[in-house]
Amino acid sequence: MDTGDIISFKYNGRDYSGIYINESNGFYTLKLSNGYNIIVDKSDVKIEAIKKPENSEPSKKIKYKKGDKKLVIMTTGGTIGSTVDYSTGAVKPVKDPEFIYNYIPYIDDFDIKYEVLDNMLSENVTAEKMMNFARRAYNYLKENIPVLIFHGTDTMQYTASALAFMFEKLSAPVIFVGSQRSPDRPSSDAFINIGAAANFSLMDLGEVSIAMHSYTSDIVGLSRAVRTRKMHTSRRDAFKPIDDDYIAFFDGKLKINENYKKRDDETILMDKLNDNVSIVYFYPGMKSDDFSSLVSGKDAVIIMGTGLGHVSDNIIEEIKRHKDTKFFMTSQCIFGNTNLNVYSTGRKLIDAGVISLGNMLPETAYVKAMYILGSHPDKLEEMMLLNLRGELSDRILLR
Amino acid sequence: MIGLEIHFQLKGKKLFCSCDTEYHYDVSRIKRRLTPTMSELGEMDLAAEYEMERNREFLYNVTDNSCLVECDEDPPHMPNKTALETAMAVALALKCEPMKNIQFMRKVVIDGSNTSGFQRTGIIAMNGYLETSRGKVRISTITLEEDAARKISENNNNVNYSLDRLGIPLIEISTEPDIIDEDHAVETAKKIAYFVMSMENFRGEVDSIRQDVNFSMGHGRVEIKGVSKLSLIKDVIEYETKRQRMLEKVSGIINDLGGFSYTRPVNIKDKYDWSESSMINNNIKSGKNVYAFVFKNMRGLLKSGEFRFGRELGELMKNLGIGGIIHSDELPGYGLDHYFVSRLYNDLNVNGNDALLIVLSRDDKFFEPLIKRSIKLLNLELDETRAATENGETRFLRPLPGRGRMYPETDIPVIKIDSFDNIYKMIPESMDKSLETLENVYGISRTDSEAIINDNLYKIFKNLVNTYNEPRLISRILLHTVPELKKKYNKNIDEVTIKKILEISKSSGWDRNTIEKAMEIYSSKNIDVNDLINLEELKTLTEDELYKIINDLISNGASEKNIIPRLREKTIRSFNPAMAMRIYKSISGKK
Repeated sequence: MDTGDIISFKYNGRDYSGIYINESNGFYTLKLSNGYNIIVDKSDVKIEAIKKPENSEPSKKIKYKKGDKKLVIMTTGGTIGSTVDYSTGAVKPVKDPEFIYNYIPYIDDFDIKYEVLDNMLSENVTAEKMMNFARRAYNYLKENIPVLIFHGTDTMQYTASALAFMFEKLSAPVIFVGSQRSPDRPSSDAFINIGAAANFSLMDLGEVSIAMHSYTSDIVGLSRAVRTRKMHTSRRDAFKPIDDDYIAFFDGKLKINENYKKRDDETILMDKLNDNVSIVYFYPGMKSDDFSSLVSGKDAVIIMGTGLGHVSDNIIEEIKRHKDTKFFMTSQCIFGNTNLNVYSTGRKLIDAGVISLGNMLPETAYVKAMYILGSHPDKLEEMMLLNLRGELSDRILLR
Repeated sequence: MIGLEIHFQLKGKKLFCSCDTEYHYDVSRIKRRLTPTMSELGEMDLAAEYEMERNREFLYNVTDNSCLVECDEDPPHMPNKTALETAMAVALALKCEPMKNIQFMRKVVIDGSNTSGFQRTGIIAMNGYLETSRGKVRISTITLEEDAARKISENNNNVNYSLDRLGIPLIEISTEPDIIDEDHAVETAKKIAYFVMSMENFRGEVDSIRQDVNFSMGHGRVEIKGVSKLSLIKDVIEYETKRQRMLEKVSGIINDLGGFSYTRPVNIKDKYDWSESSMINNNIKSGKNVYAFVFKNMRGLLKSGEFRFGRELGELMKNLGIGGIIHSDELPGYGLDHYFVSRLYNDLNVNGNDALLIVLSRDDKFFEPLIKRSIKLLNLELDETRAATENGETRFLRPLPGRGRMYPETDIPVIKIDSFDNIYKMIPESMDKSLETLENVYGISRTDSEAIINDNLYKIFKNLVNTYNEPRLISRILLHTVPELKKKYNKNIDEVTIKKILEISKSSGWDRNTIEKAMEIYSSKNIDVNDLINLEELKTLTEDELYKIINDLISNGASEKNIIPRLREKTIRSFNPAMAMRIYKSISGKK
C-alpha cells in the first residue's frame, strides 16, 4: 500500500473507509472518512480493499495578478518556506509561487519572480551559503529590482547582517522575511509579513532589513538587519530592533520613520566572507582550557562578556597568550554599551589588547568580522570600530 | 435519522497549557486576521472558502486565564493528563475501544473562534454503544478537543472573541444516527451526559454541555450546532422537520411550474425617489445600491402561510454581512406603498406569480452565492451546518465542512497510553445502575431517585449518606428542604453546610423537624453555621422541661388529640413527640 491509497477495512469488527497514511512499528496510521487519523495495531485491522487515488489535477484557484512593480522573492527554507503535507503531517518546502499569489494580501501591484535558492533549516546556514545568497540577489539588485529573501528565523539576523555588510552600496532594498507560525495554518504570520515586505520594497531604502510582526497583533515592522535580534522563541513579534527604532510599519498602510539610508545609484557587492571567527559566551567559572580551545587559531573572536564587558582573570591571561587572534568585546546584556573604563577588569582587558565594540550586537560583530576579514583583511581593527551600516549607535536614546 | 454530538467541558487546567479553566478579568486585546490555506487535495475547503469571502478581522480579549498558547504565540504543551484519563474512563463506560495511540489533529476552522485557525482534536476511543429503553445507540467516536474562544459580539466584518474559553478540555461524544425520534434523542443525551457529569472534573457551569444534532430526512445531513439545553433538542428537531417539509413543498411547486429561473440584479437606485422608505434611504446614504431581481414563480413562497423560503435567503445575506432581503411577499411595506410597488412590478416586468427581490448592497457579489444556495435548496440538497437559536429554531451557519480540513498536529507527539489501571478505577456507572442503587440499596422511591439523578445530586447524596447513613432524610433535604429554602430566601445551602448541620444534629440529638428548622434559620438569618449549636430555639426540651409545659397545658384543657399542636404553639424549641405523648398520658392518667 502507498500513502494516499483509498482503503476499506475492518477494525474491531466494524467497517470503515479511509486513506492509508503509513505503517511503523507494527502500527498503521489511517485517515478515517471523518478526517481523523487513527494509529492502530496492525493485527486489529483487516484491510479489505485498496484503490489507488484518482490522479486528478486539483482545481487550483490561481488569481495571477500582475502589476508592474518588479519584485524578486528568493527562498532559502525555514518555516516561511515550508508547508505541511496535509495527509501525513510531514513538513515539506513550498516550491510553487501559487502560495504567494493565492494568499498574500496587498500584492496586486507587483510583478513577482520566485526563485528557490535553498531548502534548509536555518541553523545549517554557513558563510558559504550567505555568500551564495548575496551573489544570487546581486543579479537583480544590480538592475535595481528589490529582493525579498525568505529565511528561517533562528539565524536570520546573522544572514541578514552578513548581506548588509557585503552590499557596500544598494540601489534597491533587500528585505528578509520569516515567519514564526508555518504557512499551513490559517493564523500564519507568513502571509502578512510577505505582503508587508513587498510594500516596504517600494520605499527609497538602500539597506538590508528584516520584516516581521512588530506586535502580537497584525502589524509588521521593518527593522535594520544589523541592529535586529530574535528575542523570543515563539512569538510572532520575536524580532526586535535593539537600541534602535523601526524603519517603517505596515498594517495595510505604510508608515515610514525617517531614520534610514536612501538607495544608492548602484549596487556594489563584496562577496567574500572569512569564517575563521568565533563567538565565545563567557560564564562564571569558565575554564582556561575550554576558552582556549574555542579561540585557538581564530583570526578574530567576539567575546560576550558580562555586564559592561567583563571576563574572569584566568580568561584575561588566556587572551594575552593568543597573540595572533584579535579579541573584541560585546555584552551578554544585549542592550546598552560595553565600557572597559569603569572597572579594573575592563582596564586589564584593554591592556590585554581587547577592543570594546560599544553597543554592537554580538551576532552582528561576528558577521562583520567575517566580512572585513574576507574583503578588507588589513583593516580589521579600524573597520570594526567604524559605524558602517548603522550597527553602532553614537547615542542610545531612552526608549 | 438522528445522531448526536455532545460536548462536555472539564474543569481544572486547559487541555494544552497550564491555564485555569476559570476566568476572572481581561488583561489586554489583540487583533488578527486568518488566511484560509489549502487542504491536501489542493482544494480549499468549502467552509473555509465561504469564510474567506467574508474577510473578517478578529479582536481577541486576552484574559487572566490565557497565556501565549491561547494567543497562538507558543506551541501547545503536552495534553492535560487528567482530562485524557477522564475522557478514557467515560469512553470505557460507553463500551468503546480505547485508542492506545492518540494522534491530535488540526481541524481547520477559520471563523476566528480559534486563534490558530484550527481546533486541536484527537480520537480517544471508537466503537461503543449505549443501552436505551428503545435499543442500543452506537457510539462512533469519543474525542478530546480544545474548546473554542467565546464570541462576545459581531458586526459585519469584525468579531470580538474572549480567550477565556479557548483551550478548555472538551469531551465530544458522537453517536451513530441510531436515534429514532426527538424523545429518544433526549433520553440518549441524558444518559450520555450522566456518565460525564459523574466525573470529578466535569465543569458544571451553564455552558458546560453543548449538543450538536445531526439530522437527516433523506435530503442530506444537517448539522445543528450549539443546542444549549436538553429540552431544546426536541424543539430543534421539530423545527428542522417542519422546515425541511416546507422546502420539499416549495421545491415541488417550483418544479411543477417548470423549474427555478431568475433575472440578473439591476441597480435601480437612481430610477426612483426612495424618500418614502427611511430604511432604503438610509442605506443609500451610507453608499449602498439598490439591486432588484426576479425569482420566477416564487410569489407566495417567500413568506406566506407555511412558506418561508425568503428566510432561507435572508439568513445567507446576513452571513455575508449584508443586512437582508426585501421581497414581494412583504410588499407593500418598508414605507413603499401600493402605487410604488405596482410601478416597480410594471417597470421590472414582474408577473403575477413572480417574486421581486431587493437587496441593499455596495456591489452585486452577493448574487452568485444567493443563486447557488437557492438552487441547492430547491434541489433538496439540504446538507449544511446550522445553528440552534435560543428558542429552539435553527438558522443557516455555513456549508458543511469537507474532510479536507483535518491534518496532523505536528507540535504534539503521538500520545501512547501504556496503562489503563488508573483509568479503570475512574469508570463512572450508568444512570440505570445509579437508579437501581438508589431504589434497592437506599430505599428511595422511584420518583425521588429520578429527581436525584436528574438534578445531578447523586454525588452529593452518596457523600452525605456515606457519613450520616440516613438516605431518606438526606434525599428529603436535597430534594425538598434545600430547594424550598433557596426559593424562599434566595440563599443556597451547599454540601459543606449540609454536612455541618448534620454533624451538629448528631451531637445535639435533633430530629428531622429541628434539622429543617436549623436550615431555615441558617437561610433566613445572617448566621454562621457553627453558631447554630448555641441557639436556644434549636435545643431540644428535656423531659423535665416538657413535663412542666404539658402539665400547664393539661390544666388549660389540652386533650390527647391537640396536645402536640398546642405544644408547638407554646414553644419554639423542639421536642420528641413520642416522649411528649408518654408524659401526657402519665399526667392525664393520674388526674
